[in-house]
Amino acid sequence: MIVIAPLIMLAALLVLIGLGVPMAWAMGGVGSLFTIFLWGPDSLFGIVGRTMGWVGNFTILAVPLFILMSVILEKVDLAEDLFDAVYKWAGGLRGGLAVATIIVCTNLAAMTGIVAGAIVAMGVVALPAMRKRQYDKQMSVGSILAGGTLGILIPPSIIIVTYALFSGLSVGKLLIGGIIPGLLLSGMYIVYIIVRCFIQKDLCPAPPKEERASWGEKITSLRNIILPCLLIIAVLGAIFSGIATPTEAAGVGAVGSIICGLVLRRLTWKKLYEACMSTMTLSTYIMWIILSATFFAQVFTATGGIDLVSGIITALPFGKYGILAIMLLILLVLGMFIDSFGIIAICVPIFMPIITAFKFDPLWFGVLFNITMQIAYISPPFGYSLFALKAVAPPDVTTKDVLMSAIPFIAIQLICLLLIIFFPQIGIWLPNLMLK
Amino acid sequence: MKGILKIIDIINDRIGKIVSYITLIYTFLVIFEVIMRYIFNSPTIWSAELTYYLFGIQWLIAGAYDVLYDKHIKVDIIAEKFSKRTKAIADLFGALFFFLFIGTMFYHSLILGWEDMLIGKRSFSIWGPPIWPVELCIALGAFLLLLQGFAKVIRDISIVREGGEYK
Repeated sequence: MIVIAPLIMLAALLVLIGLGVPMAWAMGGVGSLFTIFLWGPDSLFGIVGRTMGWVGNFTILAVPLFILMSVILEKVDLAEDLFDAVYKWAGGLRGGLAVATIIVCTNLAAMTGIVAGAIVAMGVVALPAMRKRQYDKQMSVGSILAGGTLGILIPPSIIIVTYALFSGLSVGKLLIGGIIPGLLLSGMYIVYIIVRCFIQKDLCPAPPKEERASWGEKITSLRNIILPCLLIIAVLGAIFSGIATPTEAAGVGAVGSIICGLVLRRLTWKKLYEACMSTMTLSTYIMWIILSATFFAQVFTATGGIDLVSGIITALPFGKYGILAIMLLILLVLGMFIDSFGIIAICVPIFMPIITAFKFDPLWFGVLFNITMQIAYISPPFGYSLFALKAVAPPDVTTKDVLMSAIPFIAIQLICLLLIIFFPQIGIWLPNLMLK
Repeated sequence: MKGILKIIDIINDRIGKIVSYITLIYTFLVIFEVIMRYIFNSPTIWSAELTYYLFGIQWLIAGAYDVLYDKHIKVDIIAEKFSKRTKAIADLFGALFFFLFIGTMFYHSLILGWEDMLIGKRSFSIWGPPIWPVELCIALGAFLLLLQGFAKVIRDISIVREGGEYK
């Protein structure tokens, strides 16, 4: 019984999730059921202790605070201002709108920790603009998909905060660790777009001379975005220098975004209320998943499941990098189907012993984890970003267009992943400069 | 029965709307502490603890709101191909696990919260506030979840039996 218990647990979980049962109830229910089978119903009281543990966690507060910051900056329509400014500065560059999309997404990623916001905003603002200029359909869609997903990697990212909590690493270091890989990836996208537009001259035509912005217009376009950019620098600077904890920095970011909204005269009571509401619904489902997943993982560990799975993976005869590849492949496949928070809660406890056994740097693995999640988000046919974009795209953009457009950008992500695997310094140099 | 289900929906909708304002309270508490610590150099002993309790209370109680508006994350790649009736049957099966998990949580947190209230148990921090109100909030959140789960089960049963739906 004991030996096969973990396997039955995993099977039961997969069946329930496949049937469309919310992940929180599937993991919590299977965890409870096996607690009763293995240790009797009296052992179930441990669940209250688990819950109190998550209630009494100061670091996790960074999650709702970063969400609030994201939602408010989204509600005050910053994406449009950013896009306008970057496009004006791009001038006569061929493919300028697609490059602007990537740059805006990079900035949005640094203001927000959620992916859907950036994709939807760009799908509404940038996609029609690119269609109007007769840009190649796949290039336009692809740049939004790739750019919008940068939010996972570039801090503040709520996925990174959660990963840090489960792996026991420093939240600040992991957040800072996303900066250079994020900028590298964004730079690689831009180079790809510029080079392709240079070779294929009619792919993304440049704007005619008379439509290009004058210097005066360029300067004015910066007016609305200065404050949010200062906010990013303040939040990341506070984390990097170690002056404030990530939670405090997130609080500063949230209040700062409210102040930005007020200064721009775009934040109304109604928008603030809606922002609180979406922050609550989002962070609530995240917390219930985290809670039930830790409960599930605890029971799974006690049945010997973690030893079993990590034992199987460790015993595979593929060498150090083969096993790394297998772990990343598991994450990639899971990431196409399952919510990232659930993946973190289940996989991190399983992978941590393997990472220690093979003397991988856990911080470095964290960066690889986040890039893999990005690949999963835009991988056909089930990637999360694909659906988010399809939902807001004009009707002449077909599902096939969306799926095909992702492919070159997935290739770029894979190259970036390989670069960081073979040059770990890209990921760990900056966080290791931090004091604590 | 329809009336009861409607009342459950309204209860969780209103409660969800009320606790959404807690977001603003804990946000400003974090900033308050930042200002006290870094500007006035006099950190408080209570704000961090109060802040995370407030967030905890919010997500515990809002769990039912997320059920009402179907915000809990699920994987519906396969389930979306189900007919409405098959979907209802699958959800009823899933409900068994939901009730086991949340029922357990309700029962044990109620007992623990009650016992701790009788002995006036406090948290181990320097501030040391009573801990039982938070424990009872777990019970309250679980209770609201059970209510909303009950409403969903009745609706699913009516779909399976009559092909119709209670609104």
